[in-house]
Amino acid sequence: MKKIITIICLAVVFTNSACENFLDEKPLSAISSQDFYITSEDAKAGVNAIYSVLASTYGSNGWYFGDVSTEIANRGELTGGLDVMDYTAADPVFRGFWSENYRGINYANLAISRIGDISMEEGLRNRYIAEAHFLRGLFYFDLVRAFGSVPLIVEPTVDDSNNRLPRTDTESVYDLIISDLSMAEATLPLTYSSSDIGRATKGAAQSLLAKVYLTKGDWQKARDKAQEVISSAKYSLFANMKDVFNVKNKNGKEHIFSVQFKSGNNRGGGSSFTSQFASRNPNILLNGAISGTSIATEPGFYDATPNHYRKRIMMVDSFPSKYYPEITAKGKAQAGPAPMKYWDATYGSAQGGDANWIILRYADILLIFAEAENELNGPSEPVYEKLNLIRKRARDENADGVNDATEVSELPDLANLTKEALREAIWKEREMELCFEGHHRWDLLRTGKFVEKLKASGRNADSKHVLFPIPLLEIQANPLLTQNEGYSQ
Amino acid sequence: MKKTLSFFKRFTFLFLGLWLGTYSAVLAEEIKSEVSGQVTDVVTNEPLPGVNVIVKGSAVGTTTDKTGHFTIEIPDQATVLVFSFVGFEKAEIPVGNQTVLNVSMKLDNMALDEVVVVGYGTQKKSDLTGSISTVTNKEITQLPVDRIEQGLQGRIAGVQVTQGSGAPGAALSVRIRGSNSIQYGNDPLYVIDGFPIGGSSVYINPNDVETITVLKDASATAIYGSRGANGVVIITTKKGKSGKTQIEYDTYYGFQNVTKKIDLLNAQEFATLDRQFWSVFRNGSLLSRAYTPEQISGMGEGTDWQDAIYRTAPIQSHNISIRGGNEKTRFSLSGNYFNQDGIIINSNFTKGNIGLNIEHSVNQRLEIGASLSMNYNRDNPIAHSTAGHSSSGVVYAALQSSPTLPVKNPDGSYSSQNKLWTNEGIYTNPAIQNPVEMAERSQNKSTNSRVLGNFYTKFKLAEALTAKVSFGAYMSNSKYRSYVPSDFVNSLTTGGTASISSNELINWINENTLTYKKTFNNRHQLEALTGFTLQRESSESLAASSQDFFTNITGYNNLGLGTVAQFPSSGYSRWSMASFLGRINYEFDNKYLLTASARYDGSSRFGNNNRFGFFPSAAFAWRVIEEDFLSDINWLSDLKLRTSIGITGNQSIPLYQNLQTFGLGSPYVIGNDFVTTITPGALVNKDMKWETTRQFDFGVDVGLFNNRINLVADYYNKTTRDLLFNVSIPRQGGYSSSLMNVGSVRNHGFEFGLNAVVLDNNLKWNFSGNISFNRNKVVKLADADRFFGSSISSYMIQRNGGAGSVIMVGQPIGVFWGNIHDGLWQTQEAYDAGHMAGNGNSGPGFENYRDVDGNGVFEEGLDETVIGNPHPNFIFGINNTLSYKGLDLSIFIDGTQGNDVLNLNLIDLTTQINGMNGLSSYKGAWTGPGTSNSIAKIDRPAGRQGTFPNRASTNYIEDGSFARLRNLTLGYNIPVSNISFLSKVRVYVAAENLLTLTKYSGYNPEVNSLGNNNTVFGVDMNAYPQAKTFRLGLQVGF
Repeated sequence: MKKIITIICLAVVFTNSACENFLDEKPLSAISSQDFYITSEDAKAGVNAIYSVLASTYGSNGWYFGDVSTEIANRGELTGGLDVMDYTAADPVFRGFWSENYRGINYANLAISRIGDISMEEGLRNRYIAEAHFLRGLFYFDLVRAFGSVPLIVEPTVDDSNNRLPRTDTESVYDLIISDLSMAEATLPLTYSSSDIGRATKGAAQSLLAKVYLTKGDWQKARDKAQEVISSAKYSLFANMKDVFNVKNKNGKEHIFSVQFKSGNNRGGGSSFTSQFASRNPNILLNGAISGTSIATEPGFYDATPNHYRKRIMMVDSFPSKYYPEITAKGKAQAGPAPMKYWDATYGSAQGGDANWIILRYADILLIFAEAENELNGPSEPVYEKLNLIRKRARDENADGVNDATEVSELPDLANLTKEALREAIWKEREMELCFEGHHRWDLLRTGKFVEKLKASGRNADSKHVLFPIPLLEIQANPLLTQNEGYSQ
Repeated sequence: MKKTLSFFKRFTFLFLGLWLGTYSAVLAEEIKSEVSGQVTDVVTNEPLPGVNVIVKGSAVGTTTDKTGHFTIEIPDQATVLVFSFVGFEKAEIPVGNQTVLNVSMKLDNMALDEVVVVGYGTQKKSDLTGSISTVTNKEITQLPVDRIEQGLQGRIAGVQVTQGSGAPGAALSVRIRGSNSIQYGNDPLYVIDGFPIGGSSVYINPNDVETITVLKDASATAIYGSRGANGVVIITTKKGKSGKTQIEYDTYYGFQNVTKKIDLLNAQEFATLDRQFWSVFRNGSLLSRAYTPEQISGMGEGTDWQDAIYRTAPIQSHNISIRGGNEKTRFSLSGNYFNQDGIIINSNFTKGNIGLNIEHSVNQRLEIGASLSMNYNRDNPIAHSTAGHSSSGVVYAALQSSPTLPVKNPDGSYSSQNKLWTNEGIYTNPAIQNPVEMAERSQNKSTNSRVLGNFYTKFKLAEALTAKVSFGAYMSNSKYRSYVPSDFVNSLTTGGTASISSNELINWINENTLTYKKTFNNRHQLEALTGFTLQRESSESLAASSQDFFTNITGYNNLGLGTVAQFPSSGYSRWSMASFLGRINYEFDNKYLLTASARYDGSSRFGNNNRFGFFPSAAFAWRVIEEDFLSDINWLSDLKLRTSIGITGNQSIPLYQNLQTFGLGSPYVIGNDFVTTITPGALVNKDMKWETTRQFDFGVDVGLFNNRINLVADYYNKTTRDLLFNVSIPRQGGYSSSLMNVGSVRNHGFEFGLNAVVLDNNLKWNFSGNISFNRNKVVKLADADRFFGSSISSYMIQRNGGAGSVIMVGQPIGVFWGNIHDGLWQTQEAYDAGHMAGNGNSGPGFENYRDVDGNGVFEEGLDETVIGNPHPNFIFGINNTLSYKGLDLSIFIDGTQGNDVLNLNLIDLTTQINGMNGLSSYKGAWTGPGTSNSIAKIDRPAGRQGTFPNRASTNYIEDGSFARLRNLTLGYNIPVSNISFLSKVRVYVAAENLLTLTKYSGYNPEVNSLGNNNTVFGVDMNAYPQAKTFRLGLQVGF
């Protein structure tokens, strides 16, 4: 009897020590933290993840923030929102943009802090780290332009400490952006082999730097960086404006850095720009696809743009259009002239479309050069040369490189302008060339024309609108964040 | 892993050794002598057949024969024989040197000495110190239940069972003394014949259940430690009894109908209002979207889509059981078949069960037993979704579809709103599928096979010491298939979708307990229990689907036929627990009762720092009735005061939250090809630990008039701390949430149960009733003072990021959150002068939302407030059973009082006339000052945001109080005394949900479209309505 009791007691005591092992459970269907960032394949997958955030930040915010929030576009068949200055800090679009950019920053911080320890080929390791720096610079540039000063987070988040940081002044944020992009510029290659097309290049880093300097009003550095991109001779304009946006020409000679999209994967990876920009009434999409009609051209902008080839193909007022013979739908675009940059005859599968989002292209760099050079040295031949290169392509309907009389009369070359008049002309050119590509808001802000232009278009804009509100729920979660002036908590 | 294995080996050897030892010791015992005698009724002197005669402290026993005689072998003269018989007081007779023992037994008016199943044992009802209630088989099977939980509804004070959906086989929400947890797990722990299983008891055959015991206070539940905080439901299945083999056959067959229809516009009314909208909207520029006046004047009633989808549906159940045995071996064998068609066309639930219990007494010391339960069920649901517009279901489509369309066109094809729009230019929401077509052509099937097996051996180590070892396993295989035809409107971009998913689960348990029970000096009774258990569950899942089918012929049966394969997914997870438990019951002089229990639980779910938790409790009870000073008060037959306090836990969080992981991110394109992206999972909190609930209970048990009236009253107060939830953290760190122990919730309340034998002559009338008052309050949250509940629908998203329900400090969990609807702006002047002036979303004839913060302007996101409470002031259940000669009648009513329902259907049905049908009352929409204050003008303000009218507001809050005649049964026992092979024949007619008293305007006030949700209660959005059932039943005993 006693024996049996002793055995039971022994069993219980013995089991106690074994319990710890019995209770150790490892997740077999996930990768644990200590098993990741070990190999060069891990580094690649980690860096790819940073890029993937761009698909989210630019997938719908690129044009919503860059164009719909200005006088050149509206929300098409939808109403309210940024289009009519009707938004508060509670609007989820701001929180989405904020958190997605910071998600990308955390991925970049992780890559920067952990790839260094991976035993792998030196050059590749440095390139991955440089790509992470480029992307972190881009995320912060997008944040600082949208919200002003933002928390500056440069270490991966492992506990609560990053979540408690307050906003850092914009100057420090710009310092980090410039240091990140300069680091990227120094390390990234000029070109990639075909299997790596889409990654950030040296040219992308220089172009983004040029844009950052332009935004800061540092004309010298903006001009220099633009000049370096031009001098690299890696980029040139497509002869036909329409080819810039043809999905067959993705990552072509004019494209410096684009967010990559492709259909055919039912987990995502396709874009919806074609649907978002397409007119719904009449529905100009093919293959039975349903149009989103989230954006249309604002009539004021359409009317103010002189009639020329670029206008006729990029903003279509009514169908049929001779430039788009595939479209059989007929009638006037009800929500306003349809922006056609992203229209794609092959669009229509459930997995989205192939259209990329172009963040930086050569025409933009030419115009940055022209603007900076004009500010530095006033009107000069190099300025007119770059500007007229773009105007010539814009009017060249048959893309033969020859200036027909009608074409020239529609959009003549510019010459003999005062510095001020040339500045205005460059701005106007940016508007016409880069509309619906997510640039206009930021151009208006850096030139100080935002409130004036929007008021002139009848919108109820005031000085608070030059920054978006800090998302309400973020302020609630981190009380150290303060709200931008003019917005209620 | 290796260590774990070797541990198991050694562990197994130990217990194997223990068994072998006991077997050999036991087999060496020898039988001594024999006693015989007769058992009679002390009053009538009639012999009592079927009385159980058992050698005390063993499983050895027999039963008396038809003349009340028995013969039994006894080990020695010290033997005490225990005589027990249902309805009679138990008698214990020491044998001494007698060989003939004649015993007379007396009737037990109210069985106080009824034995109640508790955690890891049983106790006499009079000895209970905790708050424990029992439901018997008779009550459970009074209703046609497909899940055991339904049988608890309205039966026990403190237990709220909500059947939020009327779909056959739908899950229920069970809350014992309120909701403790905000994010994770408010379901009680289910223990089936000693086997603790989380979640639900769906697979047990209701007819096989002997009793359900509900453990409510900490004294009763602490023995289940980290799983006890939400209460424990112990299900005990029927065992065989020695004696005559009893065969029973139970069956019923019945019909179900929808309890209520919603009053909608008919075709002409709809088309008229629809035209009215288009004629004013955008100055009539889109009037071509409406039917012409000529078309409208030719319309009549049109299609009643509710009639088209609801039907009279049969329900049936067949149950057979065979139970019997002798003093050595007892067995129980049962089978059940249950088939219920849903009241919506093409929905069905079928279930089959087989149960087997065997117990064998090897000798006086050793007993072994096994139980096995097998279940298969098949569910063919219709699509009835809670996601609103994004994926509409049949009920939704039936309410919204235009009555102008026929169910089918003259050519036999289904009518389509999409075609009406594209072919004829008449706009009714083209995204809504024909509801009849949806029910008939979209395919859904889920099947489950489950086996629960348990083997135990019980050995008497000494007179007072019993050891029990059990091994059990629960295996479940489930599979779900669905197919959406390629020509459905939501297949336009997919070309049809077929999906199959499956899950395989294995859960095993080993439990080892020692029980010591002894009485000292006739005054001190001691019972001690100690034990050690191990449990582990692993689960594997697999899911695959494909799209774009050129034919609908193969449905979900051939995924390969779809041209666009979706990525398959699979997963594996496992959890383990190791626990020690102990309990001491001490009773002095039959007056003072003391219980102390504790469990020490280790769980793999938590990090190394907080892996083990200790859950103690203590209880004290005083049987005041036993005191001398009450001996003169004759009308008082029982009085007991009880109090307890203890700590229990909740560990129902997702697995592996204690480990930082990386997983697949969304795809990206590099080099014009998709590349793998790997992203970190949720931010891990290394200090994560259990949610703990501290509960105090005080109760009184009163018996009056020889226990003809019994009253049980309890007050409880429990506070749950360290609530685990995914706290929304600042997103600047790159993560959106992290699992943290923050916050606390308090539940306190009173509950009362009353049982009375009102009449006890030829006409017998038993009354039982219960009423419970629970108050729930969020005491503390994380750093934010509130957060929003699960998104009620993608359609309901508001610009403040929250929708419908909120969790905030000082309020019950899940109060409704929204705007205060102060009617409609009646005039332009009032609007212009008001706080919404210039707000393009409103205008004369449109919503006047209160400026809650009083800053003079209505602002979305800033002027929301608490607008309703889904928790009732009290819940109640009343059952009356009357019998007269062979007739019996029972009337069962339950209900709730004071709870609100957020009726989201109202939003669609009173604001969306452009393209969707509406309530009949839509005809009373605002047309000018004073015409309506609730249904807005048929138009849309120029600046209106798409989502603006779809706001939770007081306009859509309704009183959800109800009293429901849950069951009405009239039965007749056909006299069969002169038919030798029959022991019982009863026929009955029954009706369920015959009558519901409520002010609620929707289908069913007892609703929650979000099902068994932790934070959202009382939301009605296209929920499957409940059925009214009429049944005819037969019970035959052989």
